[in-house]
Amino acid sequence: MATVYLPVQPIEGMDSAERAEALDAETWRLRRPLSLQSPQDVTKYYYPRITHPETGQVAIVGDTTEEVRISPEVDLTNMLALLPEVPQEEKDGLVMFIDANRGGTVAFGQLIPSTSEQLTQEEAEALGWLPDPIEP
Amino acid sequence: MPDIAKINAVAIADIEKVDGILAANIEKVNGLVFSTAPAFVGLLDTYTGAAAGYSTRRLASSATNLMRIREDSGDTETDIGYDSNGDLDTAAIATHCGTANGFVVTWYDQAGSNNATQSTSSSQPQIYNGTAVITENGKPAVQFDGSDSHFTTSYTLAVTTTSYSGFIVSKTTNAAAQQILIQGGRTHLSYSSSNQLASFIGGAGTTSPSAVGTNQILAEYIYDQSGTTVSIYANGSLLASQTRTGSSNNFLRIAKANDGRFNLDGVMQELVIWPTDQDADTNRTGIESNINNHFAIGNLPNPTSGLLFDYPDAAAAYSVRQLANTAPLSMRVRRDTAGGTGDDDEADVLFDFTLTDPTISLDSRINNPSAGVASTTLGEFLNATGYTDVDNLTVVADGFCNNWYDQSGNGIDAEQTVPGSQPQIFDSASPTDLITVNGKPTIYQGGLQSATITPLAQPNTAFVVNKLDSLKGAVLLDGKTSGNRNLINHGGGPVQIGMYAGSTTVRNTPSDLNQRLYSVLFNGANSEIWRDGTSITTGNPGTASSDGFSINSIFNGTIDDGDNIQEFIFWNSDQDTAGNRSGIETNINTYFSIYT
Repeated sequence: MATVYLPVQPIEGMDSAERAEALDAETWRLRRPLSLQSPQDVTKYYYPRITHPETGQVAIVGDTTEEVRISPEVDLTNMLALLPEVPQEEKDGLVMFIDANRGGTVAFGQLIPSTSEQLTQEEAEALGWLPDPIEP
Repeated sequence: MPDIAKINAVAIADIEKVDGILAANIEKVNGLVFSTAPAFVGLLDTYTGAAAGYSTRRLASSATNLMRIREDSGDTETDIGYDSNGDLDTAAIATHCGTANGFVVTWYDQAGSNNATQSTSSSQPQIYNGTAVITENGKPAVQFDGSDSHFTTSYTLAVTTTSYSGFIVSKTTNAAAQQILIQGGRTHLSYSSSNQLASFIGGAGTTSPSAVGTNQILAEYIYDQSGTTVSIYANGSLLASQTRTGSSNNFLRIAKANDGRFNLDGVMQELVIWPTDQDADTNRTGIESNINNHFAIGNLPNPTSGLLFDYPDAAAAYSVRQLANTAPLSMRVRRDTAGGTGDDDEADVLFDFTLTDPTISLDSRINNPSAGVASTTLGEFLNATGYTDVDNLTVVADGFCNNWYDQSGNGIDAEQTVPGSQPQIFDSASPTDLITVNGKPTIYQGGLQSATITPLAQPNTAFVVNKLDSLKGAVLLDGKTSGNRNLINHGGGPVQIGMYAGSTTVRNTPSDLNQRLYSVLFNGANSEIWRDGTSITTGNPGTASSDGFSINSIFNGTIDDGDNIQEFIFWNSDQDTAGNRSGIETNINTYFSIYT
């Protein structure tokens, strides 16, 4: 397991929390697309998210080594729309990569865009993402 | 074998003469018990004397058919009964209708001969949409179109001479139109145009004080003829009462007013009417439980038995066992088939009511599953050993709890939307039973959180059944925000059980790996921890309120689990001073057998 903290920047029309939630939901939909989900499903996201106690920015807490199942019915339309800063060539490459692995798995680390900030546990702690909540 | 020594050495081939003899006729085989399926006992068998009973389930041992349907391709009709579970025979409906729509011609009265009928094709409510039987919350439902579909009966509601009790499982999809559920002359129960539940009798009407929403509800109409008083209930809670001011005797109409207006735009799944006051007869809550145990409308308030009845007013309660007779739902479970068929499907799991102490088990019924799930029990849903692979999973699934339902009736369910953080309840590597501690099911690792609620000021009392698998820092209970924490955790060095409420972590007793019942009173300087009923720690952890519940999780959602949690109950009061603590502990220990 290789934990990675992915602070999410806001984009036009979405603050950090909203975009992080949307990206997390789209990550889950790689495995269970909307076409397979039921309205009463509780499971909606792939990874936990944390909020920076001072800035309010939200980070997705992923695992770069985790093998994410890719549904044969995966639809990347919404995911790509949430990545406006990612170069088109990289998006095209992501689409090809996902298409090639429909029905299989890909490591989560291979899905993280080059434009995304990635923090290790130590870096996240140093930047104040993880205050010790047990011993206040 | 010693009991049948006299036939030793007799070859099987030589005892063929007993072929065809019924077990009931083999009474000479002394000492042997022949198991037979228990006789069906339905709602109308338990609570007798109903005037009319219509349902999408079997209500009476005498019932043979539940409804007559018409398919709209060739317009052929057929009677539909029930399956081995007593549920509407949906397979027979699909077989008869195929790709055509299916409509209800007759909703048979299971109490007698007051069948609800509709002979006009365009006014018949729908039961099948050409692909599947219409359902609501996982159970078959008769759908009314809000335009003209309805039933009439020959039964007369004689309110000037007779008391009545009507119980209706329904749902409206139109919160802005008045819609009749049942009407007999100037007597009715309806949804108002403001989405209130409304009653009318004679010349007067009343409504619930607030909207009832567009979810499935159990609506009740209880009329005491001697006192001329009508009371209306929703989901077991009294909403309003009124006095009859006029007379009204007329035949019963379902889902439409006598004058042709106010059609129901929604569904109905059950309607039972008794010509008696079932509240005065002390049957009302029992009938409500029977209905809710089947339709799983929700974990409702006002129990009449169970721990939460004996010790009322819990703020929240989560358990692998049923704590209140009004709470049929234990948890929602996601199955993980490692990417195979049925992966990540979910289903609500009810308690196993065949057990003396209803508990979640592999025999528990499931409800409200993801699309495509055909299983009816948790064992089938997970493809556990000994259960039929109804959903063609091909592998045994792992099972994870993603919603632990609050049994207090307050609706403070604890949820986990992230699959990797969901507690496990079933391990495919041990496919014959749920994960257990000391013989009782448990949720294992992972964590869940309720919504943030209005802070509950101290004193607060929490009871937690926990077993660590290794000595470690771990959170059993926390609040939802940093300023509103009632924390119970294992921590420090050596690891000790402690409490924190905004000021100081108070702890002095080493944790261990035994199954334990921790009772914790959060009450400022008078706070206290009991372990297995014995006081172990006192001190002042602070005076913070609790604004929700993080189970096996820190308030901010970070999982810091204490391995096994089997029960957690929280009161916004001092249950020790109230004299209830030892009784609650005894109740918990009697079930879980934690200590002697």
